[in-house]
Amino acid sequence: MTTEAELDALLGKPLAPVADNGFSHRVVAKMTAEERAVVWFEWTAAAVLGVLVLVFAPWGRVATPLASIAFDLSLSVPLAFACAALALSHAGLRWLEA
Amino acid sequence: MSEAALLALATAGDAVAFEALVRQRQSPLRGFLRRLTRGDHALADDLAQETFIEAWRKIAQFRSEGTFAGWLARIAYRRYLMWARQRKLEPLEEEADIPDTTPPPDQRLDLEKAITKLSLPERAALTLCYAQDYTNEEAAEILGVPLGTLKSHVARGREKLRKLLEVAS
Repeated sequence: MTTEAELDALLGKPLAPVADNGFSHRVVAKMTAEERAVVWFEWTAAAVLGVLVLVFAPWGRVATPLASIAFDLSLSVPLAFACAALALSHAGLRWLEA
Repeated sequence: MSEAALLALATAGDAVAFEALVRQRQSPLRGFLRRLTRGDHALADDLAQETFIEAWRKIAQFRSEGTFAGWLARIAYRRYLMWARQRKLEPLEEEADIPDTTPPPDQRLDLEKAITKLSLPERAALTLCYAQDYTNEEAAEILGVPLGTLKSHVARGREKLRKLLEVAS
């Protein structure tokens, strides 16, 4: 007859320890391999998209307006201030990190 | 380094810190899964690997009000449930068939063998509450069942185990 106390004692025994034997390393290796595959997929998709845009975009029709916008932007004082602020804050952050 | 510090580093994307967490937690998790898979070590290890990879992907969702070990056990249990449902391997809620007759002394089963005769929720509930020292509330959360259901799995599992372990005196 198994008493309540005997059953408690049997059930309360901790599970046998399982030796790592490289398990943790395999988990991390698989994890990083999967992440690398995702990054490769994203870059490949971006590259394919870029090539498609280059090949199929109507460059003849957009070249003139783009040139005009680029010229206007190059003369824009607010844009110059914004770029300077970005550069300064970036340099400031790097200096703080150092 | 403490588990909290490793968790903070892992949440920030540090794979080395996460590997240290895996090393700390692999033994109880693989032990739990071995119980769920009725001693199938290879399957348990595959599921443990998937569990840790899912934990890495979702580590930002981990809330520190529960324990990391409990969170891992919950993922592992769900993984095993999905695996078993896909293969329709075992009744997930029904009681396993337990013979009414007391086994003779020469067929006495040891605990590990006896536990394989229990249904999945009973195996899981008994392992979490006894061998892994979770409270009933924590175990209920891990298994995703109400507290009353957890308690009845424990009681039913104990009763079946007692029958299985009994020997003719």
